[in-house]
Amino acid sequence: MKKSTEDQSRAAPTGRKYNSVAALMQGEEIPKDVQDKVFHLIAESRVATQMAQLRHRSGITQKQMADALKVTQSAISKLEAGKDDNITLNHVKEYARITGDRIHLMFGKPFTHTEAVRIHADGLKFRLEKLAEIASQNIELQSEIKGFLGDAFYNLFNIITLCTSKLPVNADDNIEEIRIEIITGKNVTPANGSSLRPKCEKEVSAVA
Amino acid sequence: MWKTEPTTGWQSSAVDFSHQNPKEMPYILKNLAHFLAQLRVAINHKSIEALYLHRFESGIVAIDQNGIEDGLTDSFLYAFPDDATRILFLLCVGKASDKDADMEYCKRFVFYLVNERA
Repeated sequence: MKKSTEDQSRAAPTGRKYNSVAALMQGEEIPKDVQDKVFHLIAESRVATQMAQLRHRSGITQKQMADALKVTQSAISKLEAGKDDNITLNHVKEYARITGDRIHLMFGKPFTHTEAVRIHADGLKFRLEKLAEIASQNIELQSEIKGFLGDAFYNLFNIITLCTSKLPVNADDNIEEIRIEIITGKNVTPANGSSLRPKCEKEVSAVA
Repeated sequence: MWKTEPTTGWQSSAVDFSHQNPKEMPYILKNLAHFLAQLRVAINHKSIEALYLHRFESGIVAIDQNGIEDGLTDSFLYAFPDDATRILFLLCVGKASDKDADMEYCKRFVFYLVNERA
């Protein structure tokens, strides 16, 4: 970059900070065709980048990884900086095993937001049911698991309340206050709808 | 979280280099994205090992075009990972044949940065 080297007095930070290369390219007016090519290259090497991250996070050197996989350090170096096409499922499996970490792989079209929420909800249901099973089998863990489930409910409720509050409000929307009461197990409201009020441990109210 | 910050040297060299070396620049920027991803998880930046990464005096690093395609002109994006602020300063980009002059520029930048702070 001979031009700026000649004028070294101008060497200074610009104050413009970027979180990603995508933001950098847009902010610094890198030509569009170069940007498109960069996005293409990044997409072609996502798994390789993740595998290198896995190794760096665990503090394992390329040499250690190479020894564990019985390949050369140069092979590891090329694998991590190259295209995903050069990576086998066995490489991925071995990286997870050696680092003691995990890698999630997904190919094809990304989830829509609603699909992702449904999948996470199914996952939550499965995990919470497993925790309930553990609590019923292990007295020592009951209190801790009950506390965890209570926290999980409260946090999920808050997330949904927050997101709902961000929805646009139209004049014809039927908005009413919903009061949710978290009650102790034995003092539930009678099924016949009598006026007996249950004892409330915690009350949460929100506009939905 | 690590962020990038261009310097005036990058500003004056990156766009020109992109136009003059449209084949090399995408590979360098792809490697920059890879390096940034590693910076965010590595124990420290000195532990990062990558095919495209070169280390020079004063803590300056250079990211080249290697990794995916062979036969490209050797080129370097010089950067300075600043642990104190977790900013990766992008110093300049140029062909390997201009390395000596570019390194002088980079060393001068780091010298002023460190001394201003002290």
